[in-house]
Amino acid sequence: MSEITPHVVEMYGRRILLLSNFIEDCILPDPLIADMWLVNHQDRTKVRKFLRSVVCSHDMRVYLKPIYLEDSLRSFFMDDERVMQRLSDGFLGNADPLQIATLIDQVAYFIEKHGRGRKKKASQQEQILQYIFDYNYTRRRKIVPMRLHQSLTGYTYPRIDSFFFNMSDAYLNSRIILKEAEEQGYLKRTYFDTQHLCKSCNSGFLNYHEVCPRCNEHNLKASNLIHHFRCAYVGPETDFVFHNKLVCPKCSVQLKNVGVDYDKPGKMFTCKSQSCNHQFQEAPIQVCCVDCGTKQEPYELVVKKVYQYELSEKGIQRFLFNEDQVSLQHG
Amino acid sequence: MVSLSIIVDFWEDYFRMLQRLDWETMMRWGWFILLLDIPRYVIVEGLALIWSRSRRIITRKKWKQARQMLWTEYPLVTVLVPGHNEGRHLSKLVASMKKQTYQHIELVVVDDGSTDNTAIIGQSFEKKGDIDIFLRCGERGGKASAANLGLRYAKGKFIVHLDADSSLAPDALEKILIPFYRYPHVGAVGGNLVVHNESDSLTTTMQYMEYIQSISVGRIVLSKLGLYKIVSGAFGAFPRKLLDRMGGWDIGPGLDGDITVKIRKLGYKVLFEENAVCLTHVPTTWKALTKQRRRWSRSLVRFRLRKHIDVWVPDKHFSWLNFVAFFENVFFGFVLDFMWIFYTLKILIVAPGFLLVWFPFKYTLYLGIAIFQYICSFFVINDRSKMLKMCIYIPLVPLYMGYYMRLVRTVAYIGEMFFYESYKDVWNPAKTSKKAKEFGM
Repeated sequence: MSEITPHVVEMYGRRILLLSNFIEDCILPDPLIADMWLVNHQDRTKVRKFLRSVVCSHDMRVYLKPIYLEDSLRSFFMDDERVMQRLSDGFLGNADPLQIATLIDQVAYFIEKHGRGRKKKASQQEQILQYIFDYNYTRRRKIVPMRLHQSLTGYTYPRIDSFFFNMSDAYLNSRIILKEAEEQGYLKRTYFDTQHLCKSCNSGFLNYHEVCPRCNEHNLKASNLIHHFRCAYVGPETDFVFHNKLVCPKCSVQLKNVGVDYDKPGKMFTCKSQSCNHQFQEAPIQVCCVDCGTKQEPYELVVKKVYQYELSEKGIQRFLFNEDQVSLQHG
Repeated sequence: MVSLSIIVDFWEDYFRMLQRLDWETMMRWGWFILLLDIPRYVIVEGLALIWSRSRRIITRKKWKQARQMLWTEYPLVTVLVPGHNEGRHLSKLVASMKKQTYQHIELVVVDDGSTDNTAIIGQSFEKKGDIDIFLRCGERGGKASAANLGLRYAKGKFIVHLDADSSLAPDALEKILIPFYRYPHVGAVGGNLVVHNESDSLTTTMQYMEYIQSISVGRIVLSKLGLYKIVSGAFGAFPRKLLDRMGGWDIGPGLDGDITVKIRKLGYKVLFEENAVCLTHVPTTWKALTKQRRRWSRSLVRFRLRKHIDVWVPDKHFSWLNFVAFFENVFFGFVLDFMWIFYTLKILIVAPGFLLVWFPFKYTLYLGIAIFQYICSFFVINDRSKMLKMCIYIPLVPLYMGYYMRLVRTVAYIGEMFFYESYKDVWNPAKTSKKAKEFGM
């Protein structure tokens, strides 16, 4: 670890550690050598990996460390930009120096107050909640779900999901952790969104098909029906198309004004499957999961609500102060 | 005893009055009854009926063969049911289809912009497979457009056009298809309509009597003479190719009569099949019946005298049969009505006292015709016990047919001739009526 020489700069009396070398090798630096860390590496995969290891660190001084992103990296992060912002304290340019200084002081005070004599929680679940409480308490942040197409359902809680290695685990566990904490009164939730998910894998990446009711194929052609008032002929638009004009196949008159000469009273589907060719008006919807390929009816989809959470007073007592009382009693 | 003597007195007076009538007076005032109505409804009808029924028996082998051919080929038949707000009849319709002896059928129901729950009912039947194709127009387009939409997606070799509220006898589909195999070049076959709700009210009872005379018997006769010109929309069968060739139905009201004329013009035979029985619901109030008959009567002026005026013109497409069919229709339906009014008015002005003799006399004559027709229909109708029960209503038939129907028809003719009322009828949406009027459809 000591092979890497830390690059520390001083600014307004605070020590800032430039992380590029650490990110390159994915090594966590010693938290004591700087008050604040600055991400200045361009490889988004590596930055992400590094930030995740910070979040998962057991050392309070590491996971609470104020970490900012260098503004010039915005273009390199591309789609990951929003996740990066959630895993860190944001871009340096968005924060004013006073804010940063306050955060540094707050974190230092918090570590001073709560850092010592803290016992490890009994379960991983409790432990994760502990980290979340610590972090969100110091940042005065809410736990807000984020839309993200790389996640399983389309929504993620980036910091919580970072504790798990595959998307499915992340989804299931983060839900359980948040739900149970809410049931015990440690978190308060407010409604955010409703999702329809695949019944077999919970994926939110679904393809909705209109299918042929007879053969279930989704290769359909839709055509508007046209009613020619004058001769009462009704048929699909294709019957009428003639040299870029609409001409009635029954009475050979050109159709000019919709609503006066003709109207479109409905539409018609034709199944393009060679063996079927069924024609129908009501196409049932079938949902196909992009991730696992399961076909299902819309009513079979799993309906889940997505909530945004905030720390409740009870939770703060339990996770940040209760422990002090316990240790006092022991003392 | 007093009442009996009054009756006896009445008959004595009646006979005395009849004695005053000599041939000359009768001919002067009622020549059209003696020379037209009686020959037409008694002699011609009686002979044609005997001819038709006896031919059936003589050629029964050929009919059997035709039936065999139908069952050997066993073609797909589309049952086409266009309707507006008819959802409540669909379950009965589906049940009646399931009972058919002929089962290679495709049921196509077209919902013409219904405002009730027809769409939901129809779609659920389609899902279950009881209706093969359920088509829905979001905007009402009129019965012709609905029928044409169904025709566009029909696949059967024959199209059987049916009203949603009528139910078929179990062998009706089979029976209506046989004439296509019995005779060559058949363009349409009309089914026999029997009133289903005859005991609902006096209105429906009278229609029951009317239907057995003018449809069951009347159409056998017209069909045998080659003059049959309205395949009723309630139950009629057509070869699909022929309908496709004509582009289906034109705007109504009276689109069934119109399409039959078009088929006749193309030189096809149009036949009536009395054994293919469809039970139909008729209007239960006089008001509704009047409305329906005015609509039907207007179409006589609109189609026979306006749209298909060419039938009267002796050009290269002229056909005597079509001409006579039109003539029969227009003369007995239209000219005689006006003549009847003319003569009644004339008597009223010239010799009002004579009416006291004339009306009972005329009534007696028409009652005689009605009884004769009633006896004729005995040989045609299957349900004879029902018919027997209805015989007490025969005395009302001359009044119903001679006064009520005449009046309704005449009013409708005048309204259509001078005021083009059929184009204002809400039976068709205004957008189509406007175009129909513009182009004389």
